[in-house]
Amino acid sequence: MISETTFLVLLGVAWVSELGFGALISYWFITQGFGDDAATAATTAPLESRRSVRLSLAAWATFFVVLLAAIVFLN
Amino acid sequence: MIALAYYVYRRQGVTNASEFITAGGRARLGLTTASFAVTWMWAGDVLGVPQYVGITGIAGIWMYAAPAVLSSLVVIPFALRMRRLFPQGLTYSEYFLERFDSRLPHLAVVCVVLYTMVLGGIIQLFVGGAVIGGLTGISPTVVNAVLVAIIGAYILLGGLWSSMTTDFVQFVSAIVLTLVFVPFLVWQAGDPNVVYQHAVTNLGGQADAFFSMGNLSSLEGLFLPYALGLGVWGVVSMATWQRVFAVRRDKTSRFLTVGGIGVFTTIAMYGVIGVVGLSAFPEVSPGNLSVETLSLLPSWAAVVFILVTLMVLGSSVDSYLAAIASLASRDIYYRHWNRDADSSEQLSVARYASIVFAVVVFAGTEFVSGRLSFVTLLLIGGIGASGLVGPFALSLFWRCTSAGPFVAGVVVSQLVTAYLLLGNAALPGWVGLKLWEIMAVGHIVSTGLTALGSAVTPDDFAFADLPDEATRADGGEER
Repeated sequence: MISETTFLVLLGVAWVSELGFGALISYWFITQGFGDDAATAATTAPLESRRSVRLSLAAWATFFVVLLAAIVFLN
Repeated sequence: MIALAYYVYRRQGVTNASEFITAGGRARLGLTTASFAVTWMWAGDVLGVPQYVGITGIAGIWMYAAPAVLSSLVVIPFALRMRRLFPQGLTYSEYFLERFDSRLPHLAVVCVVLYTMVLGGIIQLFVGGAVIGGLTGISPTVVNAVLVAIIGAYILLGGLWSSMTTDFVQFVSAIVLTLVFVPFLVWQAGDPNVVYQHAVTNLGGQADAFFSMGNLSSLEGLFLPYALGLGVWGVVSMATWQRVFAVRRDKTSRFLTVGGIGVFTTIAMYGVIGVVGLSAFPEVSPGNLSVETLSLLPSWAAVVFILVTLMVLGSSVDSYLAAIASLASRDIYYRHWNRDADSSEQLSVARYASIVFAVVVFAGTEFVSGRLSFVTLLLIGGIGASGLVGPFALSLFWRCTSAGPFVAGVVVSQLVTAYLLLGNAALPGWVGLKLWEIMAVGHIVSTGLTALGSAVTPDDFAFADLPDEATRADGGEER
């Protein structure tokens, strides 16, 4: 069973993560707007770079490692 | 929402099928990610996550959230491959016309996508009507009718642009809801320390298990069926693919990653409602935990909470409706009915279809109410996903995948899993399996039949030829 302190930390982490998520999306929207008005179709955009894909996969790996660690250690 | 949709309709110039179906493939990262995330946040989450917590404790949060999150991860290799082979598709199902010589695979995929999308809309309304009705006392039929009328109107105007723009407002509302009202709820119950202490006291001997993230006692009942069904739903969902084709190609994995992981944080916040419920309402059953707990809020806060829940519900329903309208216009009308239809005619068909299917989804919701449970509906949707995802993967990554085995894999797996799910011991050959086992059978049959059949009668498809043949960047006209 997790302790009271761990429970409070988890609450805080969840709240801060949600705030970060909302802030990131809002920042992207405010700085980028609705659509790329210069583009006529996405075929004009290049494929996603390998670096960008690797970053995404690293984010997923980190997420699942943290989740698994929580499942294993927060008992 | 209708006014906002009208503004976007004028601003973005939604005058052809490409703009209506995929926002012209030029939607920005923030808008697309918000739309993707809020489409995955169901109004039912407000009810469902606290219910999971009420059944199995804090482990219920990841058991509920992981299938939805997993779906975003699983779709990434599909999305990257599709955007390389089929750079600016309007619907992903059109890929199957280019991939196979026969039209049968496309028809099989359209049937699966159509019923899963209509079912998706029905599930949203079904749960949303129950949640809003439960919180307000208003008849779910009235809630659903009003909602469908509003959503039908704004999808009619701007298609995916309307859906995504209203989604952004709904996204911000949902985030504010969790950031402000969930902590407010905790302090209404005392404070976080009090919530923890009361919950531990109320749970008694169960506290150890309920306050453990590693409590796996409900894994087979709560997690595995949804992981195997809902966990691959994103791959077959036209709503997901519309957003994949809407965003710029170089942002594909990024929006799926941020949107997918972000949904986990929102669901975790909903889980706090369940913990407050365990603290304040120890006698309440898990299914009623959310509604009872939200009664701790003062009436003005409850009204705001209900309004935002209504918005979250709308975001999911509008996504499914836009997807169905797009499917009807491109995959059914243009591809199988009238190959001469120009972009403006396809746009008209999509608009008519949005009205027709709004009525169909509403009527379907009324029909299943009282006849089928929420869980059964979800599992029927999962059947569609489990039947398609394996054959789809093989068709994308293996040149030998051939049309006949593809169709056999999709169709036979649907029939087998439906038989196992809906049948009973009186029927010949029926075997009683757990829900997750039925989903696993669906994956094994669909993937196995397609792979074995293709090994026996292999195709020799040249993927390199696909982009030149298949690219339709102008809303439908042949190049």
